[in-house]
Amino acid sequence: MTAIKSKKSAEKALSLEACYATHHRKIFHLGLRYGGGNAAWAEDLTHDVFVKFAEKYDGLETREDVGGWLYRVASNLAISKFRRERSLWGRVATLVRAEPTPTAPAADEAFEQQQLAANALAAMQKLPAKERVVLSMKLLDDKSQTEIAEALGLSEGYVSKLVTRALGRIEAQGWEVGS
Amino acid sequence: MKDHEAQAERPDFIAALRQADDVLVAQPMSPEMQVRLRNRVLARSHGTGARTRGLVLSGFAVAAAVAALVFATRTFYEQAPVEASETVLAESAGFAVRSQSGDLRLETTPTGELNVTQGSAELRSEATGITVANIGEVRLQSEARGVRLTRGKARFSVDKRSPKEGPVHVSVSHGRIEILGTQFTVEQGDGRGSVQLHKGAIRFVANDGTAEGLEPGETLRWPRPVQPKSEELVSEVTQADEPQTAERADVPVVVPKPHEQPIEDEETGRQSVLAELAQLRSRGKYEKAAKLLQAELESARLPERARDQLSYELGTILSTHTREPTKACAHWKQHLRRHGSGRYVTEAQNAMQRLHCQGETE
Repeated sequence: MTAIKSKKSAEKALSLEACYATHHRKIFHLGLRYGGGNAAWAEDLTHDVFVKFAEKYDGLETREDVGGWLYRVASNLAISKFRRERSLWGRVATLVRAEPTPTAPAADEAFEQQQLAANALAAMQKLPAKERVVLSMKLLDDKSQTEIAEALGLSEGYVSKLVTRALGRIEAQGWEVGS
Repeated sequence: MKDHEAQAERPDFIAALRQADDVLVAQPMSPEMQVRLRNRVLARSHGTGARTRGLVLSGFAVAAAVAALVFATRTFYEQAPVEASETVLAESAGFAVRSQSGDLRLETTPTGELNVTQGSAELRSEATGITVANIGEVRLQSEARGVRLTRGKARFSVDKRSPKEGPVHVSVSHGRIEILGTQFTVEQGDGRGSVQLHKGAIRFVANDGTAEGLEPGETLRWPRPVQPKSEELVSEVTQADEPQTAERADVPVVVPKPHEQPIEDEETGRQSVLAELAQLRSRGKYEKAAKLLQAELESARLPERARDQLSYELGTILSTHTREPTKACAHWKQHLRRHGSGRYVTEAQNAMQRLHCQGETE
């Protein structure tokens, strides 16, 4: 019995390692995207996503589309993380906590000569959590409203409303958002 | 009319956002972050307090209690993963363990060398400000003004030093690498090795006193690969890559541009190209970036996985930046033909739709 348990546990560790090796860069990129280029924020999100994967590993029905599962978890965790940071706790914690030094190049350096791109990223950062994530999924990953609704557990109507509101806010910041 | 003009002057948000995202995609994780993150994830997943976080985060306490908790949490993260015995071993050899994997195994030798025989770690030489992240098994020795890599492969990062402090160095079999503050990877095998510079500047001083400077992206090998003896060497070094000079066989040689050399290590090679690509993109040099990718893709020995990713990168540049829809469509069409089961099929199809390539694909 113990042998079976330890074999299962070893198998889980191997799967986690393999999954981490395959997907961590993609999740880190999502973190950079949602976090406005903040490498430390992206690192934390990546960490949380894979810890969640480890916790849910036994309950996952299929491991065929792990990438899709991680994408959904990353998007949902990003929304929770934004909310947490905007809460009273988050604001106090941010003041108290010394953020880990971002070891990847800061967004400002990378965008030195691409002011417009940096401004677009900054405009996204001004959006409320859900709108930011929904708009990223729509504009950058070409997800349909149905797919977004499914991934975030929202109704299609609500997703449509979030997209419209987000685009309105972006336009109000002086951008052309197209049709 | 004025409204129309005002609208025409407004910047295109979607294009700017996609451009920003392209830069973020190419932004590599630093070696330190890779080690740290992997250790954090694997340590938590093996049950070291995975559920405490939720409790901590859900607690709304007074500001003082919050400060104490946050401080305590940080202290826990910094200290918990380090095994006492490994720390003692590392310290006896002049290194501090900054982070480690759960399976780390260290050994010291009577001559003061530190062997990393298993797992991964960030080892720091406080005296010189050098941090070493091992890639597999390595053998290191602390020196007065640096670190000696006797065997194995490791990434080095060095704290910024003022010219007054002078350089620190990493010693290898055929000389030493002088550093003022930078990141690079060194590999030392039996009588041969290489250094690849990621950022900053370093100088290689060979044992015969000759010095050679390196720029980011360049690789220097020692000794010069003249007569490959084994099949392994033949696969790594080709006639085309050997400079046609009469240099001595035991003198190191610089291999100038990463896109002109074979990618011997898929991940390292691809990361190096992506780093150069990120630099070109951040400077708005998209045509040069496209040429770099084109050259890489023409390399016969490029692994399939890397080829898939680089082809995707080229496609995004042609679609979004160089404004060559015909060329972009042709590229995506070719991409789907060659990498029909690759990782970027959906992205390629989406890009073709955006560019209205349907007519050309049929």
